[in-house]
Amino acid sequence: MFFKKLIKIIATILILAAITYAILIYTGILPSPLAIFKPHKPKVEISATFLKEVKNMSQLLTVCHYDEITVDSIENKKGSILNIFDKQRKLVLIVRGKTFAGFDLSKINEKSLLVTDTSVQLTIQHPTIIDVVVNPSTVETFIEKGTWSVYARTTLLQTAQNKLTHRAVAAGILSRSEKEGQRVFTQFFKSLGYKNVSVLIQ
Amino acid sequence: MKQRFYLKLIASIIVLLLNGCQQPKQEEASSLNQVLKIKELSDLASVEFTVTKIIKATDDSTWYKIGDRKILMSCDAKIKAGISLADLTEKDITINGSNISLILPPAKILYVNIPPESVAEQYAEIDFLRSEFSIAEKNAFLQVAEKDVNNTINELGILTAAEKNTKTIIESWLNIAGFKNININFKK
Repeated sequence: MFFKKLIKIIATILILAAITYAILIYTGILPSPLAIFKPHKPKVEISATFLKEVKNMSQLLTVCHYDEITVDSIENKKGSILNIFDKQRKLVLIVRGKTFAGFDLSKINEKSLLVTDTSVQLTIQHPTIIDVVVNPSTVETFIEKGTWSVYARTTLLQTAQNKLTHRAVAAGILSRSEKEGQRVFTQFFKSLGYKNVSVLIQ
Repeated sequence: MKQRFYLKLIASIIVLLLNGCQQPKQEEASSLNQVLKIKELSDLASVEFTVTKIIKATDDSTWYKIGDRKILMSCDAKIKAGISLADLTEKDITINGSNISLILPPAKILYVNIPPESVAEQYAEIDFLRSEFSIAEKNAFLQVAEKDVNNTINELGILTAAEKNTKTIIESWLNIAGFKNININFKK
């Protein structure tokens, strides 16, 4: 009899405690048991913008190649009794990048721009890859197993930049850039009134 | 019989507490379905500003987590600005002998580039009971910095500098082309 009563009292206390706990979780006063172990969104503060360098330039950007690739880094952990089930450290990133090609026009001078009454001849250097833009907003972490440093991220993104450059070159970005450069300059000088415009790329 | 009922009830409540109080996962819309392509440009880049950002992230807002978890990162952003020559039409050019007047399109931001090698972890303090910051978290912090750079671009005066340099570049070409009086303005 006493035992039955005791169980009833304990059960009632437990139920009341559970209901109270559930209400506290629901109202946000207490965290849920799993939330304790979940990562919380950290508070991020960004400093004011410090101007570090101002660079004057003269570049004609003629082509932008958009691409998406994946890069990964996999390392096998050294034998440890703790690593029996998880022997690999793995980082897989999905990277969307923009590759810009164009011309460096800083060397245009009197020798490279020959002008007569109705004709103009411009000599410029071959186009090059100017920038491969891989920004944080276009990088997605697909798999991350183990701890990785910022340096590892940098190395992986530099690999991504090389891959994006090769793919852009294979897609013909430089030849497209050359044609576009010729078109842009021809149009520019024709609008200045020159009838014969010749753009030489050396 | 009643004992079993109470035991089942308690077990059910515990299971509900463990599983039911989680926030539903928000699935981020995948942006992988973007069309890959080559785009032709006619952009004359005349200036590049390099700015530095310091990112401070702290994860100590939850009272029930013991120990500090904070990180200090830095990154550079290169902002390129110039004009689009494609927007220059014959209507914008007036030639009278050796005099020329041009109305160029207004300067614009061409792109912002955060080079991976400019990202550095300056300082991190992770206590024994806390986990390291993941690459995904660090990337999320950098995304906040990138957004901040984009929001504060206009305060840097880069467009004024771009117009000034563009004017110098075009003037030098027109000088070589033989024009004596050159008047360059920008569309508003």
